[in-house]
Amino acid sequence: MKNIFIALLAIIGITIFHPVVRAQSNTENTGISRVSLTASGLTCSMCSKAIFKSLSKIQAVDKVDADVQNSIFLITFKKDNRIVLEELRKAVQDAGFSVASFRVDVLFKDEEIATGIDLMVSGNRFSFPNIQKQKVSGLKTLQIIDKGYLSDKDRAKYNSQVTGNTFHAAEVIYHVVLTQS
Amino acid sequence: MVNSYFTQRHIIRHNFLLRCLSIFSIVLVVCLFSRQASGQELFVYTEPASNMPAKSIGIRASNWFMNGPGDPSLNYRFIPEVMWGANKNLMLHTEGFFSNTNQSGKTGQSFHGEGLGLYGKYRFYTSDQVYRHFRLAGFGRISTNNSRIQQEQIDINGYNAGYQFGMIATQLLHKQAISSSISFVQALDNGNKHPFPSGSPDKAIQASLSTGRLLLPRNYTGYNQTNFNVMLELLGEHLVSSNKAYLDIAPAIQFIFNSQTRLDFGYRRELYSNMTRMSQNGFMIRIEHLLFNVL
Repeated sequence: MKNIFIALLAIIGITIFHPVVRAQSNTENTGISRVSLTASGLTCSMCSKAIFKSLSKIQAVDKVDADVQNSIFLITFKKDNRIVLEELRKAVQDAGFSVASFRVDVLFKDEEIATGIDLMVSGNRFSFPNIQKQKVSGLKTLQIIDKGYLSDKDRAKYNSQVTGNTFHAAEVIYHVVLTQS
Repeated sequence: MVNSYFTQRHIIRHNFLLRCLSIFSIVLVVCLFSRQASGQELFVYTEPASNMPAKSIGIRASNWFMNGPGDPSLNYRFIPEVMWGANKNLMLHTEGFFSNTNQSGKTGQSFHGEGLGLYGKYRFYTSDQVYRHFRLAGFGRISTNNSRIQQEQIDINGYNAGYQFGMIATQLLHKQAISSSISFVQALDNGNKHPFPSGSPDKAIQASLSTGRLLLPRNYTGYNQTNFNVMLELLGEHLVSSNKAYLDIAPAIQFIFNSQTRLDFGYRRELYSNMTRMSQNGFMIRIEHLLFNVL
């Protein structure tokens, strides 16, 4: 009896406090189409090549297009491979550099986004700290505003917005803003 | 009469030193205000505070062709080196020292191994922005050497056994790289019954100031373009508990092929010294290749 009561409490608790996660439909999912990453701390092409090699080594990465002059890397992914966005950040840092900007191009299929609703896209959890409730469709760009994904200078303007969600402490949550482009 | 001759040479050396320092400062200032070229921190005579990519391996072969007023015959040193990026903050090198100095100290035809060195660098601070960064690293070196010690200059990278530890600060600012290092060196007895001469200072402080500039390409279009860099470094040493010191200037040019292979040509020359040195002037040619994602 006591056990059933505890189990019921746990179920109620999880239902109430669990942030709503939009389920993914089987076919025609909202998915990540591309990542555009700007690296910082480098000028020379040898440094850029180190980042290029580090990114290319990731299992899920299909192709890396490097704009050496501007330190921008366009990353596309292999079909049916698990994309872990955190691995891209780690690859840049392992090469010895930092991420100044991390933009994710997402193809939305009639998704409703709002503050407080986490969105699972290609296995990665996104949270919108400060956004008007809206329906999105088509190709949109999300900018990750967490530390390590955006230069400290650019992060300063988002500081008041990032609330932080510690419920899923074991899982990475990417706090994003919808960019105008 | 001998005294006045040496005083005159002293004054001439000082003037030369001052002239070189002012030229260096002008070059540095010009570089700082120039926005045309990008900076380079892959210095030839010193290490920057930055690290190799994690899990990469570098292979390096340095050839030193040096001599000096104290020993006009050519001293050839060959230093092969293997470098490993353990993680994004730590790199480790091992190097071997080979030279044509025979055991009695005179340079000759015999070419043989003289010692081994281990070097480690740990980057403990980094602040990155687009096209600029500031990094701080600590480093240490330990070396063996079995050659006969014939000079007051302490150099644990090919002449003395000993250990060294220090710090490096590197700034990439407005596409110009500037780096500075300071270290403490302790010389020990060399192997093969060649002890460190008693009475001679066995501790030193070494310092360096380096700047680098990328001249080509003007714009990056890919990784196969050949990079051409120019460096200028000042290298100095002061023997602790004495008034003996030297200051050398070392200009260098560098080619980088396919963003992975590097070819350095350097020339090092003494600007000022009041200690005995055997082979302080000369050329250095180095080739280096970087292998990514190896270990």
